[in-house]
Amino acid sequence: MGLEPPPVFVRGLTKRLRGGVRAVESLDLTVGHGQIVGLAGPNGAGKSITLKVLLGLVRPSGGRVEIFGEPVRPGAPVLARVGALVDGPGFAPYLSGLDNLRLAWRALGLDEHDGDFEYALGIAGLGPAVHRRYRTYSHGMRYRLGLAQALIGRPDLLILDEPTTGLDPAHVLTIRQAIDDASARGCAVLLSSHQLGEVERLCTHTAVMRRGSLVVAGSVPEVIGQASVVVLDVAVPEAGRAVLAQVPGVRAVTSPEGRFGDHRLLAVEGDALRPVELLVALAEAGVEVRSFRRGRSLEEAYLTLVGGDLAVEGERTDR
Amino acid sequence: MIGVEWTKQWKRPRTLVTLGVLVGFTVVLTIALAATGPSHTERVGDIPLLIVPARSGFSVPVIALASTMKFFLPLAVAVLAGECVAGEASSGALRYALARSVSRSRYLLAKLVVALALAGTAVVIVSLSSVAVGALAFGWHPLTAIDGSASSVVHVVATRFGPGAALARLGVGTAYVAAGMTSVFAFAFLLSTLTTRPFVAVAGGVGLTIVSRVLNADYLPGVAVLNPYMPNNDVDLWQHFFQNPVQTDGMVHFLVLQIVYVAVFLSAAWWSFLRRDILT
Repeated sequence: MGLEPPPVFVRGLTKRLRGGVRAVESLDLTVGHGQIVGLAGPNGAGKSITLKVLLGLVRPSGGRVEIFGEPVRPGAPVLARVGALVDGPGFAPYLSGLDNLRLAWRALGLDEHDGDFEYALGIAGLGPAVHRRYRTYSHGMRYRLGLAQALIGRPDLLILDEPTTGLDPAHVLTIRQAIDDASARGCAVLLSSHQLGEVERLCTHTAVMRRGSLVVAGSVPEVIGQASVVVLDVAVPEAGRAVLAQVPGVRAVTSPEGRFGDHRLLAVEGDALRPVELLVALAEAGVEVRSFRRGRSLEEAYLTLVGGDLAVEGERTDR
Repeated sequence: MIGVEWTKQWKRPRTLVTLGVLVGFTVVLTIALAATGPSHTERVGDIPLLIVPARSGFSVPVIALASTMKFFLPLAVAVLAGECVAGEASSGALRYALARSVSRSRYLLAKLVVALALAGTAVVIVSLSSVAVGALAFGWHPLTAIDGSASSVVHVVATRFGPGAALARLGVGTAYVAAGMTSVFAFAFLLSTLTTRPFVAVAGGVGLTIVSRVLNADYLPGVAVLNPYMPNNDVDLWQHFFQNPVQTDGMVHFLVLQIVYVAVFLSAAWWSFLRRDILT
């Protein structure tokens, strides 16, 4: 038996929206079998549009988009192998969760008496509330129902857009577990997320987008380890930055200040950095160091890769 | 897919409320007619037809159809057509319906078939419920209609329709009114495929009716040249089925006009929906 084509294969994807806005530009992206790929990038980077192109909801302006080797177009037969949760769940508000799930099931021509329906209901985990109208559900209940719908028919590829945004920790755990379970049975997963810690924890691979283009893609360890980095927690960051910049071999000192986590973190990039030299330099300058570690988190790698440009990206037009 | 859509629409409260309001209207109308007394004569439509409601239960559907066809029925039809795609888009369900191995044409066809059936039900339910309520209130008696257009001091045409004949003519009249609603339906359906706000589609459908009525030669003689091409102006010709002989002038033209409008609006709906990016 020959190897099946990859679950997602995108080459040169370009999407221009009305008015010439370039949402995606020459994007190359591959999701291999068994991979969980996290698509990261600032708001407006083109992540959601890319996912919608993969689902046949948005027509590409150019490029090649394939799922399991079949070209994607609206209603393509291969979409039967794909489950999705994009832009939040979408159900009839006047129907119960159970009725919504049943109708979604029937629309795909599936038999609700098979075990998969019970499995999906289990993912939703709504208990007696499954008989209540959807409009009465909390944010978390809606997302779980959305994930249950995405898992209808046990898809071979899951496409999830910000699957845990706005959820409390218990709901996040449920969704992570469902993604892990799907992956364990061989389902490939492509998810977008702003929560880089989650991408790092959940995904085997990541692709970082910025201004509609791919910045970097690879396994999570590869992306994190692209530069030699030492992360220091210092008492006086301004003084620490000035001292560290003078140390031989240091290329850049960046700070995720005001964006992610601690205000006192400094990420020092350079070639063959020796933490001891950095610590000594700081100590001699009287800058207290509270902790340090080699390497960096995906968040820090991400900040380096997108150049700290985390604001919502403005429109990019051809005009 | 049609079965799924049928279930969805029948469980939608707005569908049930729309049909319920139409049935309620016929009940209120019957009570109002009963309160007018046994000898009250009602003028129906532009002919006009003169009928005495208390003499026959069949007077109620004739009056009900005449009084709903200009606003209530177009509104009901616009609600049922305008909601069908835009309602799904506004709840976010549209993207999940389309992110599957189902062609957009098939999806739209299922929407069209179900919405059309519901819109037809809205028209038929006015006639059926008013026949039932009218028979209860005024009895299953023959209907006598006086042709007001032929009446003068020396010439009055009164025709008596037995229950069977009255039912048959009412059936044909109802079908004509239903056909007359198709342009409104198709326009609201088109808008429903273009917007994510059901209200816009509904308002558009009703707006078409209003514009059609306003640009009427009776009100604005200056636009008389447009009158034959307005989609709703001749929907009231169904009353001619209660004349003897039936005056069919203008009916065929009106029905052909409906076909043309429906073809244009539905073609535009298909063209745009198949090319539309589902961004929300």
